[in-house]
Amino acid sequence: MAKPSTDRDSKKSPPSKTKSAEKKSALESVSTTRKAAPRTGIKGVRISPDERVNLYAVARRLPNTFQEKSGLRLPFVTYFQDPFVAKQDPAQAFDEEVFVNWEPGLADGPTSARFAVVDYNSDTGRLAAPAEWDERLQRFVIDGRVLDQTSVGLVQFHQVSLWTLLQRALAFFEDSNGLGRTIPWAFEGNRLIVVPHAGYGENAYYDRRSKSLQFYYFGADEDPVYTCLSSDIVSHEFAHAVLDGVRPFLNESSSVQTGAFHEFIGDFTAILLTLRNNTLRGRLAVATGGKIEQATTLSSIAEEFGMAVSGRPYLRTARNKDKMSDLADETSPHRLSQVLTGAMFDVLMRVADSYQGNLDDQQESDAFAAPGAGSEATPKQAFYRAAERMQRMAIQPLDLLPPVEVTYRDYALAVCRAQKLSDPIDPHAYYDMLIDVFRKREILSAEDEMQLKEPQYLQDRLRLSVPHSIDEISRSRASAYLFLDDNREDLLIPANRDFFISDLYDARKRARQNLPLPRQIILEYVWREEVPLNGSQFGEFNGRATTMLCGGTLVFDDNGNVLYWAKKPGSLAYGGKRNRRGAVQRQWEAGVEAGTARRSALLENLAAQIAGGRIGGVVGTEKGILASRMPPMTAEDDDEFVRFQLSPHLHLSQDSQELEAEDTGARQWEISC
Amino acid sequence: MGNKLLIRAYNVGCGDCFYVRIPGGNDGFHILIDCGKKGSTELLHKAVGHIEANLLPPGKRTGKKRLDLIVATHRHEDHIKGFDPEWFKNIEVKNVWLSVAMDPKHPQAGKVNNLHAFATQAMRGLTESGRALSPAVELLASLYGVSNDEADTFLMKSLPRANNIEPKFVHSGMNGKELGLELPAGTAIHVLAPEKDVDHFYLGEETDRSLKGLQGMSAGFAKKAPSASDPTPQNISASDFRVLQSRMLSNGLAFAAKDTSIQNNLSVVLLIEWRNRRLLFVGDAEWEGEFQEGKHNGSWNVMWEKHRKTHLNSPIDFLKVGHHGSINATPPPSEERSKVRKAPRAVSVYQILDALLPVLKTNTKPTATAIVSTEREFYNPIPECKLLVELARRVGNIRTYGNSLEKQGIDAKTIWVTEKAKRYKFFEKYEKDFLNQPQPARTDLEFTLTGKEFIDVEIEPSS
Repeated sequence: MAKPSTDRDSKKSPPSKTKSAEKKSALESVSTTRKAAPRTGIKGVRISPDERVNLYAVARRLPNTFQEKSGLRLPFVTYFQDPFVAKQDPAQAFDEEVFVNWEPGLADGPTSARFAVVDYNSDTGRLAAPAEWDERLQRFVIDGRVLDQTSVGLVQFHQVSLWTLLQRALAFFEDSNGLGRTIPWAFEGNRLIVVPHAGYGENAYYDRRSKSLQFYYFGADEDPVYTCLSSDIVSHEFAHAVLDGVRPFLNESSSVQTGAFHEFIGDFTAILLTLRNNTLRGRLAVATGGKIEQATTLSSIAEEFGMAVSGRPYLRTARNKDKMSDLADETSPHRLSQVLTGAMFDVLMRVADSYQGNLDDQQESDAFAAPGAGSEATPKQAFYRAAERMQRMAIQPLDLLPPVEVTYRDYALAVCRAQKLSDPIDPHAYYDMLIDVFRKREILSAEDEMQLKEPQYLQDRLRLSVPHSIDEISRSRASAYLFLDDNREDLLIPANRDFFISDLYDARKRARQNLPLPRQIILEYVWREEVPLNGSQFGEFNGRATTMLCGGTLVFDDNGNVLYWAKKPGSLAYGGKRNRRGAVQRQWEAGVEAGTARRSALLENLAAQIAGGRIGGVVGTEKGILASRMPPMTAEDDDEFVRFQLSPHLHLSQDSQELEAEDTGARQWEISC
Repeated sequence: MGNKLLIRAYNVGCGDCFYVRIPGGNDGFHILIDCGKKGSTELLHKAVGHIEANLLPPGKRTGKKRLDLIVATHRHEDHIKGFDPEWFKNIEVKNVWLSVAMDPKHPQAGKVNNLHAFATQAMRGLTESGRALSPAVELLASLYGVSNDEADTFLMKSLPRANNIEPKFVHSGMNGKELGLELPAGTAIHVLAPEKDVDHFYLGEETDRSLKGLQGMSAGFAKKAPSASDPTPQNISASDFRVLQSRMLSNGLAFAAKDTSIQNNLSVVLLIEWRNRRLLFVGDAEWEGEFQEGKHNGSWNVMWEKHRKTHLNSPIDFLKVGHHGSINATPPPSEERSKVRKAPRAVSVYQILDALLPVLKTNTKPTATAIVSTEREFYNPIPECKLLVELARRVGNIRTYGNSLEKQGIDAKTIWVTEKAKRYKFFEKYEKDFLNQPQPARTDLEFTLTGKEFIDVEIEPSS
């Protein structure tokens, strides 16, 4: 069975290592454990380019080692220069060889199926020459020179390094230990434009409108700092693009929690990608002065990790004890995100704690078990092992989120649910542990806890009046609509409102030890409820109307059983002729109550944003936009409705910017002319 | 002329043209503080003509009039566009004061001037393309127009030379001797801003570092990253590339926005003391969060830091409201502090307004006065009516324009009717809710009501 690609596959050896040398080391490791007669390569077997394309078609079924041998996975060098690494780390820059899947369409840029690197600089107005794909050398080159760690000073090397990092980060999300599916982008198109040297500034951002990830640079010519070379920054911004693709309607929300959720995903992805990577772990160890290596307890590891990453904008929030009530009036998504990042870091620590007991029992995959390791994991091993598991625990639940207005509670419920689906026996009581962590942070209430712990069949969450076969449901959005329409009353969709299918897909995820989980078929539906804005508290929008997004996510198994239902009801009653009493009626009452509360909260949030002057327009020309006047939210007016959307955050030191901005209140978005 | 001091604010749209006559001495002391506006200069020409014909005493030579002092507070066109030597050819100007920041040789303004040059180049690059700009950018670009160079030259060279004088670059801390004016008895003019060390107080280390870094790294990129043979990317479409460019962060715009704010903060701020009356003319001075050395400080913050125990230690009798009524140019009242954040860091900036124009006890009419020289024609939020209403609590020369307009049979909706005004709903969004509350005298609405091209405020001596 194909092994998941993880960072353990990356090799620290220089790329000049020849193919035969690679073959040799693979053979050596086999012979050590099995002591069978040495197998030698079959002479004369070569793979032609056409044959490689044939193999490419079935590449997923082939083990990584074979893919590497046959050129289906190629080594590229990534180069890290983390601007914020702790001062103890003398070698602030380092490189690493990473294997990336070959594609028949690899081209200059680099350009691949999902990314197009465009090295345009808005300060100089110039396009740098792209790294060229050399078919013969099977490497990216510039002027005939292979781009590797000897060409670190070249901008083309940055292009390749960044592209490699992104390919790997995408694999992290699409891997079966992640979402187990190819994920779309939020914009019309499938190639994310990547700009490694966008211009001068302490900025990096994902922008849906231009389908781009832009990385800026700062410092001085003698001592430059490139955000495109920071794994934390790249991971964080990329995670925004991923979440936008997976849940595009989160962009349209006036709730601080939704913005904070975006920030949490960015931060936590950066943490996980750091902890899963051998090379970065090594740097972390150095950054802590070796203390992580020597730590005797998990809490001291966490402490060291926290200190090593303090002052780094994306990892600053891992260690904290914040609860929701501590940040009740918080308007900054960055600051609010701390609660959730802290909660998931707690989960990581508790999982690590359980690993310390018995390593054999917790083996994530065979490859990791070094022979003769013994059954006691050191705190360090337990910590890193737990970080790997967190890929499943933190990323897989994203498919269970509602399509609109995600709150922390929605995510916590999804995390708990995903744990139950992935590990129903749960011998180490992770389910209870998760509930406990979320309760302590006040993300889940006592009532939530009670409901979650109520013994209930997996399928008893939703009774549908009109069954449709899963084949019919999953065939297309149109046929999925018929299923939903037949069951409106059960699904809290008002009778007299049209709605649309925002997404329909299936996913093949894996659980521990790479055991495949049952296929999940996920159906998301959305509708808009008109919300008039009447009152002076809405400022210039007084007299206009906006919309409240409503909808739900249904997760089915292969047999059409509902595994999970995440709902965001509206405030309207069912309004139709069928009038079932009992449980359904109660369900509707609760739904309308929840929808009404959401509607009030939306109006309150909007009024607060308007009063705080946090909604504005973007100032710019065809040559670019004015960053300092990018308000946290923009208002898009299509003459019918006003839609409020989250702006991308730009400045790396967002916190200090926000603080300063708050000192000057609503007037900050004006230009002094 | 009597024994009253006259302040006359000409209606020049979104601009300033203030004439001040201090009685006594040799036929009075006559000052012109700024003469500029955005857009066409017709009104300015009229104003200068009117001043010459009606207000100024005869000069030394026949047919000439005398103007004792011209002050151009800062280099923005809405303050200096009208200093055309042609219009002043029959006026003998005795003194021209400019902000020390306008002295190209001033060593402590080198960095600020470097920023200004960069911003000018960037903004002119933008307008060269000829494409339509959004209103905010258009306004920003207008401050860097070539016509501003002309006005610069008028003030620095042609106008002084025509009068056989040199411009004086003034700054805070200059004493009477250095300022060199022959003032009537009981009169003193103090320059409260800018500080002499312009770079230190108003630029900010961060901006300085960023600009240097940008210029250095752009040069570095030009050297080490040879351009692609084709200037357009081959791996994305032309339209995707255009959209990408429009959504990248423009340092040109960023530094221009910073520069205009800094230029406003380099305004000459005058405190005229006459017979125990205190008149404050603030140009376009702005306020920021809290004063800090090495930061980009607002002029108000610096003035409060430097002068609160001396020149600003008591209320004033007249305020020339800054920047045409922009919210950036008048410090906020103390009540605003609690609305900003749970525990805002800024403290002292919230003390300034109450110190200079205190709200008096109920039933006591304030004796202080204020004028806003403004028109809502270019930049939507200026003037900020909420601010004007707040100021009206503190000054005596107020009017409820809604009532006054009604009495005259003028429908307020018909006042703001240009294309832009209709598109951006000037009346509905920015004026409607405030017309029924008192506001200080504002040139635009006074003109609508009275048809007079100026507002007069007369100040009686206190002693």
